[in-house]
Amino acid sequence: MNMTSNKQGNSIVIHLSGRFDAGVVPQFKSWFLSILESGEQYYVMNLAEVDYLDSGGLGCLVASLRRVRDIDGDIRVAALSDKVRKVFELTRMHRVFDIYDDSNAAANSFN
Amino acid sequence: MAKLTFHIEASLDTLPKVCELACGFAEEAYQKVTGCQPEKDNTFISAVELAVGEACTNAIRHRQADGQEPEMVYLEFSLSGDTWLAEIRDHNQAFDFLAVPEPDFAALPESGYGIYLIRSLMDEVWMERQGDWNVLHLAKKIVS
Repeated sequence: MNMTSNKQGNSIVIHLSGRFDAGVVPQFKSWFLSILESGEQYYVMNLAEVDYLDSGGLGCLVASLRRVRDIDGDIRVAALSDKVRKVFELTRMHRVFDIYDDSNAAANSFN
Repeated sequence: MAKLTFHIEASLDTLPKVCELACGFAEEAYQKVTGCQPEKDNTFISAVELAVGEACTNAIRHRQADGQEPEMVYLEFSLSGDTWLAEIRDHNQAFDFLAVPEPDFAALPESGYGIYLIRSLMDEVWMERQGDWNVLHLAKKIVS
């Protein structure tokens, strides 16, 4: 999975692409921890280019959200494909994360 | 339609290949049953891909939790009438798949969604012990 980030307004937008599965969990966790060290509170997960999300990837998003909430922040997700949205819905994560059609809308929601 | 049987090393690095093979067989089965090419993100193909991926992840993780060297996970895909079938075999300790509870969604756990997803996506899921083997069976009817 490829991971990049940029600052947009009050938030950090994280762009993920490829498979977000159990095999990439250690890589993502360590990368996200390094980003958290910046002290930023607000994050957007842009999943537009994620073509597969499993319970491992989902668990990573939940773990990340819990960490960010510990510092009174939030993570909002954007641009879910139908396939990825289905995983959110089955696991009721669509009630946990605020979901936006695209990353700009998600980033603007923090302004 | 011929069965597809193969085995993989019990390593999470093999998941993309497993999913690719599962999708390939599922596409062929879908075409045979419906007479149509599956569209992108077809619900049936996506369900098969995720359920097989989760089943393999589970088998691989239990292997690793045992602290043993990676071994193999054996897979078989077949079509019976209009129903897609899979068998996933591992050599891990006996595991009571049906005893695993649903996640406590209100507590927002960081893990434990895999088996719940498999059950949600498939029409039938059952596990049996054959000698030293756990055999997980998945079944899903193909509808256009």
